[in-house]
Amino acid sequence: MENCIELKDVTRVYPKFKLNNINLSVPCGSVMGFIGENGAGKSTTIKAILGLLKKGEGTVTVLGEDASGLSSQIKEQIGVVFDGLAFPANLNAKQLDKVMSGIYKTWDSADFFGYLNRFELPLDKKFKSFSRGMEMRLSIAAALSHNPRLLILDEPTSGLDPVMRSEILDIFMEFMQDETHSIFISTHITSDLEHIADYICFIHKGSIIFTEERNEMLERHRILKCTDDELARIDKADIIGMRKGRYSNEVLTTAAEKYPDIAADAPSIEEIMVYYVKEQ
Amino acid sequence: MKGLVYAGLLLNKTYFIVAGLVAAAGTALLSVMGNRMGSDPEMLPLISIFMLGIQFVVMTIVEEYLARDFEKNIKSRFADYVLAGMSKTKFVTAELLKNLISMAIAFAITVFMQLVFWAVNPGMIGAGRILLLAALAIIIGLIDWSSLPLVVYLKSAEKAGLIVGIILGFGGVMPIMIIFNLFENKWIIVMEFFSRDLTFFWVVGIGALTYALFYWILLNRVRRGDVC
Repeated sequence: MENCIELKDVTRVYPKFKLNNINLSVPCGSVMGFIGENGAGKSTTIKAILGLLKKGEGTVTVLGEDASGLSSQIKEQIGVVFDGLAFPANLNAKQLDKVMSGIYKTWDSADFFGYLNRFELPLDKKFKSFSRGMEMRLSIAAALSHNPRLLILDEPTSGLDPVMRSEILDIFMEFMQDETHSIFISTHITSDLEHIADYICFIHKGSIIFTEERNEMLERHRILKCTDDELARIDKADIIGMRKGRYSNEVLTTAAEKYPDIAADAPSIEEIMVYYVKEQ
Repeated sequence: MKGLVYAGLLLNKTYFIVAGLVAAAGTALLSVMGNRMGSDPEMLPLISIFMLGIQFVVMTIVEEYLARDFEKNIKSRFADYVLAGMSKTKFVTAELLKNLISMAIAFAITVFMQLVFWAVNPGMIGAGRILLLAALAIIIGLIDWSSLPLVVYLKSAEKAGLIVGIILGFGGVMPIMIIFNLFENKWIIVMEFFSRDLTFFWVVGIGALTYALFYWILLNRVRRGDVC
């Protein structure tokens, strides 16, 4: 199996939003970072991957099966983290363990309590008294505790302090040490992706803007810092996004080699995303 | 699948506890009344009807949580989480199991009430009451079960219950009212229907078919997606 997730020509129409002709492939054994602004369609795409949306155009394949009819065996191999707590708020961790062991045949209570201990989460406290960070840690612990092959994560590090984020990212890297494992992670915290992502996919207003290998993406893009005169020389077709300042302008481009006399900086993933959105 | 059933029963045990308390209080009160007024032949049937009323309330309390729990799972996205981990058929079957287990609990509590009542008032023994309780439990469970597809559509157990209530009112009460107004000897016609024609086995048969019908409706709705 070459790709663990494949979306081909996927379109879903809702009253106020449209997922428009999404084409996306996540190679097996890789980490794909899925970025986009609020409301871009990240969560909707994740729901499409999990087969939770109404049927529409296009095909979605996960671990070799059609997402609309995933078998129990395949579902057991997918660990999911939704944005926000998806468990009943009046449960505690011990009760959740019993619930999950009745849902997943491969559920490992020892693993689950091990992660809870590592994440310093209480066993008897109801989830409604958890902070946002505790909720996310709990969700990650649950996602990892039934021996998944594929992790599908929607904002998993949201609400976590830098120390815990680093710990979580280390766990994801441990997970990836098995070459058969893959991660599809949607996040606003693009700096996390700089450490772990092999591929970056950018979605904006329901459409995929680009999907690229991370290093290649960072190499291709440059921010040109230019004066008004230099800006006038730049071909408009080469401008992906632009920020006009009082004293200088910044232009995101993939054609920096055409302007060797203009100072160029390497952008971060976040900057690339912002410039693409601003131009749109 | 059993994880979803366990979560539902665990999270809503308050309803069972309250139903138990109402059952205990009602049984105690009516048993005392029955004991004191047992010699008066006109009072015991009245007390029996009061008992039936309290048993009906107990059943309603036990099964009240089903649609609300389903609504909470939808709104909290727990339903999405579970659907990501199990098949849609198992998800719907788990909801059916919750309904049937709750129905069994309701029936068991009310049978226990009845046994205590009979122990205190031996003159009131009758197997027909047990069948009546079973039929009531099935009907109440069925009303909750039939509302679940609407809960998915409306994202609200209260609105779904309101619509089901309106349909039952116009589909059940209205025809009876029409019979009352159109036919002479109307009381006899209605009573014959309920006592002779609508036997317990008819209730079970129609109930089973209706359960199956709404299972199919709910499964198709869940299969369509966008549950949460």
